[in-house]
Order: sequence, then C-alpha cells, then structure tokens
Amino acid sequence: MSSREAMYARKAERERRARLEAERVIDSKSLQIYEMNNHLMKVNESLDRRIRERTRELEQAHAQVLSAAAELAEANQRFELVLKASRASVWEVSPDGALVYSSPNIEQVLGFRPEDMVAQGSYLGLIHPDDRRRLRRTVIAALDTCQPFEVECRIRRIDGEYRWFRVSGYGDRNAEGKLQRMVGAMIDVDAQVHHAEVIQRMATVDYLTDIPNRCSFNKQLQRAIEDARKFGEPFVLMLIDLDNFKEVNDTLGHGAGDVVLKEVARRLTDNLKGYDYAARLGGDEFGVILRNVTDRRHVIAICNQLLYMLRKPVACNGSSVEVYASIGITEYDLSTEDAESMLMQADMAMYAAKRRHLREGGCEFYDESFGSDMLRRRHLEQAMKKGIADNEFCLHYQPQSCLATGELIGVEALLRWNNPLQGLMLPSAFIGAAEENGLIIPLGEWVIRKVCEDILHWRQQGLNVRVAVNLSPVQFNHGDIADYLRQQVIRHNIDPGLIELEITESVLVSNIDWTKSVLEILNENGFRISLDDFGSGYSSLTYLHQLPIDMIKIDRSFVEDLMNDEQSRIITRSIINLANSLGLEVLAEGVESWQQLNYLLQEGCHYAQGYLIARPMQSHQLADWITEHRSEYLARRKSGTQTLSLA
Amino acid sequence: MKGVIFTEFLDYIESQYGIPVSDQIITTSGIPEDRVYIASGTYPFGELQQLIGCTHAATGMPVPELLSNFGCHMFAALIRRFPSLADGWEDVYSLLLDVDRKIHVEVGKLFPEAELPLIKADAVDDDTIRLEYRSPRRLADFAEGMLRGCFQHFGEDFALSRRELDSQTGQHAEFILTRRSRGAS
Repeated sequence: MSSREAMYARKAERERRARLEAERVIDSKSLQIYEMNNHLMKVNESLDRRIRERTRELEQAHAQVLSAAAELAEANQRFELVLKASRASVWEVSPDGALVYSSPNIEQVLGFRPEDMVAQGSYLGLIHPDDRRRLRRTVIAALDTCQPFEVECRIRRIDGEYRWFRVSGYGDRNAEGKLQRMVGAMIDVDAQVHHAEVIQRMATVDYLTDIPNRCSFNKQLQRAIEDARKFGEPFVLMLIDLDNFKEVNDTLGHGAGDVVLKEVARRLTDNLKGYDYAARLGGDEFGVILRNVTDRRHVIAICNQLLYMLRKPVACNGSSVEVYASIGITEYDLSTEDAESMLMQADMAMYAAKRRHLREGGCEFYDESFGSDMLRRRHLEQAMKKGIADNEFCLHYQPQSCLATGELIGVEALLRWNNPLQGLMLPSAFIGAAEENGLIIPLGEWVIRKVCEDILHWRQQGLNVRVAVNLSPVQFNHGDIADYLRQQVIRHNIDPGLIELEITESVLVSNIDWTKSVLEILNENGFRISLDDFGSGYSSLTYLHQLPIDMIKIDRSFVEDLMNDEQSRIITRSIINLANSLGLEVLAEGVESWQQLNYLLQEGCHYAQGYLIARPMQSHQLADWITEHRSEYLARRKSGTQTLSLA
Repeated sequence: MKGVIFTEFLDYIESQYGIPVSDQIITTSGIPEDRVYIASGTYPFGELQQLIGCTHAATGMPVPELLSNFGCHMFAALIRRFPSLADGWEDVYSLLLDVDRKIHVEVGKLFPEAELPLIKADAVDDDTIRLEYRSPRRLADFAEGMLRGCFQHFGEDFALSRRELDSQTGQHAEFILTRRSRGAS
C-alpha cells in the first residue's frame, strides 16, 4: 500500500470509528431519551392523575360553591319572604351609631327610601323624644351584657305620624369582644299597642260607668293596705249596694238601669276627694276607699252625703228614680289580714245595713259580731237549700172566719220548716235570711205551687177554700210574679179568686208605681189582694185609695192589747172605720179571746183569724175541721145564736 | 471541551490545507490513535492545544492568526449547525448584548458539561459595544475570530480594538466594537 493509500485508509478508519462512536452516542442518547421518555410518561401519568384528582377536587369545590350559592340564594329568597311575611324591616348600625343599612321594605313601613335612611346617618332623630332615653338605656344594657334587646318605641314616618314599633337587635362582636356592628329588625306593632291599651283599659276600667273596675279596685285596696302598714296612713273601705236597682231594671228596662249606674258612678266620683277612690265592682255594687280618715263621725258624714246625693232623683226613660243604697264600712287596723278579709268585713257590714235600713238606705260599720252572724247565715242558707231539695218545707193553714156568721171565709197558708236538727221552724227564723240570700224566690214559688195543689185536693173533697198567701217584698219585686201566678192557676185549673195575696206595707213604699202596676195586673187576673200587718208600718192612706186592695188585715199587736190599752182600741177602731169608709173588707189577726172577738164585732170588723177560731193545721186536717165547724155553725144558726163558734 | 470544536477544527484544517496536512497533524499530534471526535462528545482541552501546536508546526501559521481564523470559521459553522442560534437578533449589536444572558444560558441547557467563557457586553452608545472576555483557556484570539465571523454573518462593518486586561495574554481581554456601517439585513 502506498503512503497515499495508507493516509486515506487512516482517514476512512478515523471516519468509520467516528461514525461508530456517533452511533454509540446516538444509541446511548436514544436509550437516555427512551428512559427519559418513560420517566416523562410516568411523570405525565402522575401529572394526569394529579390533574384528574385536582380536577375532581375542583369539580367538587365547584359543586360545593354552586350548592352554597344556591343555598345562599335560597336563604336570601327565604329571608326576603320572611321579611315580607313578618313585615319586619332589617337594619344595621355601626359601632358609632350610624345607620349603615336598611332593608328595602323600610319604604313601605316609614315612607323613607333605604338610601335616604342611610344618608340621614342616624335613626335617633326619627325616634319619639319621649322614647329616646328608654331606647338608649335598653340598647346600652344589652350591649353591656352581650344580650339581644327588644324594646317598643314610636318612630316617625315620612308623613310625620309616629307609629309604635317593636325594635329588636344584637351587638355583633369579634373574637376579641370588640363591637363590630349592631343588627336587628323592627316591626310595626302600632295596632297591637293600641289594642293592648284598649285591653288594658278594658281590664281596669268599667266599660259602662268609665270608672275603675273590680280588678283596679282590688289593686288599689292592696296598695292602701301596704301604705297603711308602711306609713301608718289610715283608710276606710266602703261597699255600696243599691237597694232598689233590680226594680229599676225590671220596671224601666236595662237601659234605664245603665243610666242609673252611670249616674251613681258620676255622683260617687263627684263627691269624693282627689285621693279617695271609687270603683264599680259589678252589678249594682260599688266600692270606695277613703284615705286619711280616722273619725267615724267624719266617715258617717261622708256616707250620709253620698246617700243624700244618690237619693236625688235620676231621670231615665221619662221616669224619675230615687236610688237607695246600703253602705258597709270597715276600717283598716293592724289586725286586718288582707284585702279579701277587708272586703268580706265590708260586705257583712253592707248586709247588716240592708237589714237594718230595709229599702231606705243607710250605712253600717263592721262589727266583729257580724262574722259569727254571717257564718250562721251561711249555714242557714246551706240548710235551706238542702231543705228545699229534700222537701222539708210544708204549709199549715189557719182558718179565717166571718165574725157575724162564724162562716169560714178562707185560710192563710203559713210556711213551716221541718228542720231535721231544730224541729219545726217558724218563718221568722228563716224568711229574713231567705230574702237576703235569694232563696225566697224558689221557696215562694214552691208555696204557690203547693197552695194550688192543696186547693185542687180540697176541691176533689168537695171543699172550695180560699187561701191567703204571703208574698215577700223580695218575691214581689222579683221577675213577673203576676205571670207566675197566672201560669200556676191555669196549670192547676183553679179559680184565681181562691188565692188571696197578702202584701205588707213595706212593698208599697219601695216603688209605688211598680207596686200599683203589679197589683192591678193581679187584680185584673182575678186574684184577691190583702194588706197584711196593717197599722204596724207606714199606713199611708193614699195607698189604700190608689191600690186595688180587697182587704186590710189589722196587725196582731193591736188586737193583742185591745182589752188593756185604749190606744190600741182607738187605732183598731180607726182602721175598721177606715176600711168600711173605703169599702174594704177588714180582718183582725191574732184573735185569742171572746172579749177581743166581741169588741171587734161590735166595732164593725168583718173577719177574724186566731187561736180562738183555730190553730194552724195541716191540709188533710182542714176537711174534718170544716165539717165539724159547719155542723156546729148550722146548730148555732138554728138556735139563733149569732156568735162565732169555737173549733 | 465540546467535540464540535475538534470536528470543526479538523474540517477547517482539511479545508484549508488538504487531507495530507490534516492526516499529518493528527498522526503527529501524539493523540491516541484510537481517538475519534464526534460533535456531541467532550474531550480534553489539551488535545486541542496539541492539534493547534501541530498545525502551527506543519503550516507555519502563527497560533494567534490560526485561532482567529478558526474562530471566524467556527461562528459560521455554529450558525450552520444551529440555525436557530441567530434567530431573533437582527444585528451584531443586539446579538452580542445577549450572548451572556441568553445564548450561553441556552447552550448551558443543551450541553450542561460545557465550560463556557464569561462574555460581558455593555452598550457604550448606539454603535459602540464594550465586550469583556474572560477564560482560563486564554482563547481571546478565538473570540476575536468569532466576532469577525459575527460581523460577516450580519454583513456589518465594525472597527474592532482589543486590549489585554491580564498579564496572561488571551485570558482576560477587552474588545471595543464600533459600528462603521449597518448591514443590509
């Protein structure tokens, strides 16, 4: 090989080796690239996985955000609806008191646009001046205690009108306890506040008379007791009850009754001093608290003044009504337990006044004896209720005879009570209590029914007996007695002329117009009327002339003293003459001796009733007595004797 | 040192002096016979110095001139091999200002083992650049040749002055480049 060829051979060899080296490098690099590629693929996969995870996380976060956004939108919508439904306006105030937010509905509530409200900066200017201090105090107290607050205050609308709002709020504090803001709501409670005022008024003021009611009175009484205990301020409690109010209602109607009650309330308040207190406790009952009075004479003077003022005629429904009142008085002293016991004392005193000053008005101080008396009356009332239910009452009948002929003209029904503990009790032991507690009404109706039944029974035996029935003033003035009597005679098919109704003079004096109208109705319906116990009471001749009375019954007190008291004889004679002059029948009660009877016959008295003729008897005994009495009467007539026979 | 310097140097010798001279330099350089250079390889700098020394001996070309000419050749070769290297620069001025902060950064990414010189370029004014070269291999001549190759590539005329900043010639030098005319591009 030449040197030239050797050179090229070396060059070729160098290039071949360079190529091989390059290929080796390429292979090496390829392997590196391959491994790098694998690594990158793994990295890529890892990245993909991470991307997928992150994507999923992002999707979840996105979904959560969407959900939260939806919930927020829902919450916002709910909030708006709640605002609409509750009519509440929402507000926010900065720590320095500036109004920074007001919900849009404030415009409907106050008339101001929310932005104008915020622009005003402070809401205090809209608060009623009288309410600002209370609002501020409430807010400060709530902030101090980290509690929510609620207060009612008046806020001015754009038209200047103040309306009541219930404002509630809460101070929002950060983790360090620093006040960040105050948020809250306000709602228009104007109507509720006014309703509450009306309700409050209704709860404390009597709707009819516009004076305090029982509830207020009880509170005032309690306060008076506390003042008396703390400061030694004496006071007097008075309960006032109108005696004839029911008659006003019954005769002139409830409208007239209302007029009377209003006038009574007005007169009471007009005649009391500023620090005294009057209230209507219900019905026709009023209460009065007199402050700083210790002298009973002073109290009595005030009572008399009140009674005088109340008695002045009240004009209603074209009529004139005089109001009689009974006043029960009790004084505070250290032994007074409480308001209730004072009221009970005054109540007892009032009933004592009623009893003592029957239907003419008067006052009575409480006495400790009233307590036992009241207890006795309560027991009596319970026993009477039981007696009515158990049919313990019965009627005895006392015959009435003609003085001239000895003929039986009728009988008087006399009520008796077969009390299981006390035996047979006479009316004087229980009628007064029955009149007070109202049991006289069912008892009186029972008497009428029983009389009707006995008349019917006697008729079946062939006897036609007229029965005199006593009517209590309470019974007479209660409801429609004429109507009840008419119903009973119709029901039993009885001649009303067989029933004679005995009324006392006290019935006449209470309300003559009413009495006259009732008596005329009774008379028109055929009932007989007699005036019982004549001479013992008022004995007004005017009544005798005006009323449809059939018979006068001379009170037994005059007959009793007839033989040894000239005065009684004069009175008895005068009554007999009066009756004869007026064309009325006259009967003497309590005739027990021949001297009495002969004197009465001599003076022109028509009839007599008493032990001399017959003692009261049971209904089944009457038939036998009549038979015996008639045969003796016929024998006397046949022998020409004109004097009355004895049973 | 990167193999591309070796392969381009041998190509340059062969193109300038022919295969026999090239073969003579390789065979007399004392470099192991089995040594082959590929562009992507990395070889001891001493072997380049041996090749340069043998070239001087074979051709009588002074080393500074040889390195400068080879630098001029190398710039064109690099542009040929890596055309994108010069993309993005419109003239010498802009390219030189980016050598250190952009081009060398990219070269470092491509060849992490490359030991690059420090090239610091500052614009003195619109037409003057001050360029500072620093390398323990003392190839300031080669750098000067690269600058000339750059002028040729952009077709621009620069006046080039050089000042040694170190007693070791070629290790730390300052170049002042003053543009005399702009290129057509």
